[in-house]
Amino acid sequence: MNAIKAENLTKYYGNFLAVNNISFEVRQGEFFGLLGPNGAGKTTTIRMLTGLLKPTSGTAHVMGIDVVKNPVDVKAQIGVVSETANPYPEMTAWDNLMFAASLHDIQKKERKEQAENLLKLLGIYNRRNEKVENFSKGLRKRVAIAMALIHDPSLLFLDEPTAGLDVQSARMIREFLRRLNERGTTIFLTTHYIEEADMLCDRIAIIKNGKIIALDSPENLKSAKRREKVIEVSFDRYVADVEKSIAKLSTVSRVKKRGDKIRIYTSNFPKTIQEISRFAEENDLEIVSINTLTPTLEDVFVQLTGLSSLDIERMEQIGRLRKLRARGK
Amino acid sequence: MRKNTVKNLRKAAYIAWKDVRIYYFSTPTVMMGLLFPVLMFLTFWIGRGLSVSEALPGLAALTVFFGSSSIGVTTLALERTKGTFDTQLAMPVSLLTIILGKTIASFLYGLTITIIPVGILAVVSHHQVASPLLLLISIAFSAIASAGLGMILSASAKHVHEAMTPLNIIRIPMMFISGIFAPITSLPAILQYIAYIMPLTHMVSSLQYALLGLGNIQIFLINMGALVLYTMLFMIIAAKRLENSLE
Repeated sequence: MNAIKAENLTKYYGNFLAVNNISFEVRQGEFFGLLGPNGAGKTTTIRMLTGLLKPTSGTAHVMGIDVVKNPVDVKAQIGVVSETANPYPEMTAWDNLMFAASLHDIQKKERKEQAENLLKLLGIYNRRNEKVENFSKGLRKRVAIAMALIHDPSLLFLDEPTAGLDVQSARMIREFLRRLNERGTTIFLTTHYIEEADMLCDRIAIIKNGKIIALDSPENLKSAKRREKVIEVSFDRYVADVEKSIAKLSTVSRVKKRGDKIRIYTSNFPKTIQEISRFAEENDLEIVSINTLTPTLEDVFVQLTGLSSLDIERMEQIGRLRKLRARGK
Repeated sequence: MRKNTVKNLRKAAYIAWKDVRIYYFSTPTVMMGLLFPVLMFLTFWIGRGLSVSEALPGLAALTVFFGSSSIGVTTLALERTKGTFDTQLAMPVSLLTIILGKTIASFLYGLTITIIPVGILAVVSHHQVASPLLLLISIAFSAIASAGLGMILSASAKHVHEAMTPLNIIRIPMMFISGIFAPITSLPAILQYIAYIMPLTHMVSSLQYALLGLGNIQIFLINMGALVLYTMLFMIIAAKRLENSLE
């Protein structure tokens, strides 16, 4: 039995088509990522799979249960950490877990043991009696994860779990999720952090305009892209519009500036190296470093979604803005 | 089926207890609960030449009606703003169970803030309550119907004011045609028909019987039946509106 089986899932908001006839399966024990730009349909998909939203058409079975017909039964089998869901700030971390446990109908003795274990694993046991309103966003997210796992579900959904978190909290959560998955919990993750998906997921689906445009393991996705080589070069000084000049070289398909380095995409590696050397000589530039890179998942993502590096930066910026907003709270 | 019903009722009770703990024990809520009936009574009583006894049914009706319908609106909208409502939605509870839980909490609040001042005033004014048991039943049924009304308007509101404004548009005119300030029989015929489909009218009528002995037991039972129907209707509509608001 698959942990998730979605068939022709479609969701309209009025006339707007948010999710367009998507079908996929997630195997038990898999770490599955749904990657896409903002507004691509990630959250709508996760909300349909977790019984929070009815699809306009199509079906989805989660742990073998029809989520459209029996959303409450599905919720009893899964854990959900949604981007917008927060623990109750007026209650302590412990009381939040006890409340979640009571709605999952867990026996009193069992709920205490489970809560203790989870709070210890997530590093917040010592702060269990503090009100959540005193917690940072990272700590609140840990409480939300503990609440979602209180009934030891075999499938955990996470919608942008590390969005806007500080580096330490994000790393801690990633490590926790990795260990949870190793213990056998199936994880369905949506994220717009491409590196995060690359690091954690067994398979990734890329969604754009409500449609899945690629579904494979990160390495397979990258290997499909390996026909294109990437050269990263840095010069001893900056020349105005250097990237525009390099982009005009005959073998170069595109160029991206990364700090003091310039990333050059080409299908003719030896000739491009020659052209870069000539370009450096002609412009009286000294090459400080030159490296070849394997394509990253971000490269695959850019190619498939048709987003520019500016769009990716914007996505990352949204992440940073969320972080700032969280700090301001 | 029966096992499921018991389970859902238990979950509704957990939600109600959570609401009571978080919101109803807070200082502003307790203060509002204490001040509201006092101000309501003074507004209703001063300058009208009524005895305390005559004013009691009106005071009780307004307190239970405004108290129970307001508090649920506040908690649901606040939870939506804070993102805690989504946490609840992710749990294995139906929308009707969530609405029921919140209605129970609002009912308990309305019941408490009505019984205490009515009890104190009855003792202080040496008023002989016609039937203390029917008074308790009447306040309880009124509280739960009022809580249900509040739920309808809060079900789709994302902020407190989005629910409070339409709630007041409904509640305030209702106050003037429900028999609190003037007997229904003195109203124009069209308003009399409207009055009888208003839940507040049935609250006032049942409280007048329980506190003063006005009317008869048949009318009291009809009023109770009407309030039960209103409660069920309000909760079903609230759950439906809540479902639509999640789209």
